[in-house]
Amino acid sequence: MVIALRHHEDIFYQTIRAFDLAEKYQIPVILLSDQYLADASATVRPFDLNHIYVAEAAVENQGGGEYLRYRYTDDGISPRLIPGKSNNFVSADSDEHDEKGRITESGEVRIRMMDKRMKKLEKLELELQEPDFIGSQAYDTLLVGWGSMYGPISEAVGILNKNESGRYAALLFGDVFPLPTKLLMEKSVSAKRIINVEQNATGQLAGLIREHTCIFCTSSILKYDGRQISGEEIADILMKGV
Amino acid sequence: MSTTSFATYETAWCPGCGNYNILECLKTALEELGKDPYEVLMVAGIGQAAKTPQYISANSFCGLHGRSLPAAVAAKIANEKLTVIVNTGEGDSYGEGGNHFIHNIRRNVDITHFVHDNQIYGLTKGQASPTSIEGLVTPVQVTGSINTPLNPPLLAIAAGAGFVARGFSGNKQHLIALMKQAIEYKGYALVDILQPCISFNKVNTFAWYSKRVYELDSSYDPTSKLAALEKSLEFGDRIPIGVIYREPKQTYHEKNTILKSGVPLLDRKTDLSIVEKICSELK
Repeated sequence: MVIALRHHEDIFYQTIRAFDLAEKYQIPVILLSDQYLADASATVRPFDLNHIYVAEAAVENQGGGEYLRYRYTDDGISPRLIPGKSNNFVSADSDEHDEKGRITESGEVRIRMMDKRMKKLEKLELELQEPDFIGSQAYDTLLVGWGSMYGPISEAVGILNKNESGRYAALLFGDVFPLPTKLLMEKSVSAKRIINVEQNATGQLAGLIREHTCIFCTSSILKYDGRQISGEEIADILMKGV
Repeated sequence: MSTTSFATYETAWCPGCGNYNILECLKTALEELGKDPYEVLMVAGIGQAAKTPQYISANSFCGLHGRSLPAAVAAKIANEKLTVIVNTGEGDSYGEGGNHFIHNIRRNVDITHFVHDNQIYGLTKGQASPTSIEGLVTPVQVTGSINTPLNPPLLAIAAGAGFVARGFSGNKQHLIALMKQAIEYKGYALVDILQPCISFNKVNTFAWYSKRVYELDSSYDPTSKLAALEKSLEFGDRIPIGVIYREPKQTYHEKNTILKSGVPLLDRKTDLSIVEKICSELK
């Protein structure tokens, strides 16, 4: 799971969510941040501490019998015990392994373990967060961006809608892998143009979108001189025409 | 149910491999120290030696090549009640994991590091490893290795390790005693264990090591750093085995202001009132 951090408030809640997802699904969760976010200051609302939650490891070997770190389960998730906290052996291995965590070269076990891991994604996809939709409902140009582009793109949409009578909207992605596609599919229908605005040389989000939805961005704004793009800069480029 | 016996399992090692003796010594050392297998965590990276945690009944973590020390150190920091032992090869420890090796010595977390050093990459069928002798011909280094072999005890002492020893898989009683001392040492303890790779290293064989190794006796003082540095340089016709250097040092847990209270991180709950307090101060 990869989560791109969008703004200051987002960083606080997504970091907690990352720990929760990692424990709940027993997967690595990667948070993408950058120097722009780390160096920027902002005023935020007080954090709501009443609704934050992080899943915890199992306390006992439920179901009895020998504890199996990689037990086959319906949803592919095996309860994690903490080594040293009970009279069970907890064995983890990066090589292909059986339910107990012992390395194996069996093709049959390999397939079952691959299927087990892939199964987790089915459940994870149910709780992916769709991108934020901002701007005019009567848009014809849909901008797409991710991570710290949240601020500049929001600002650009504001400027453009003031100047060009509400033709702009944007989808701002936080969850980028697995890629949530529902809102994108829905909002792309009424867009005459889809433009990806990114701070990399290859248009990585546009590539992901193509791969997972067959939606092609009509053009892109890419800045990769090592400097942060601003809202004015994006608005300027769009007003001049891309 | 608690048991003090460590079961061992069928391995995938070549018959005659030095790893067998090391596994047996490890089992004996842990049993003689009366360790509870459920409180022992074996950690390794990748390699033939790195399969050791697979073959003994204890908790285990085998992760990425060269990354056994970060995982071991993290586990010990999270739960200091665990006895954390790294058993892995010289490639994993000094090659891929060279940076982790140096900087975890500096941290001095209370873990034990047993390096199965056969001077060759065995898992991948015989390329030169960080300790291969210069000139060693392999299927990859066809005209002989041109790199200077790394000297593990010398490097460890120079980096500030408080317990540095060298063992030989062919001298079991001696190795068991070394392992016990290393496990009981408070802080990072290194035992570089010479072992033959009977399949891929035809130079540094069992006979080669047997002819050269000699036990350090009571005339040697392992508390003198200068003497230890000098002793570390001895690797050729004669190779000393035993504790090369020993010095009491404060551990990471003893020095760290958060950890020195003795409550394992694992047993602490996040106190949200601290976050609340910071938030209200910033209002």
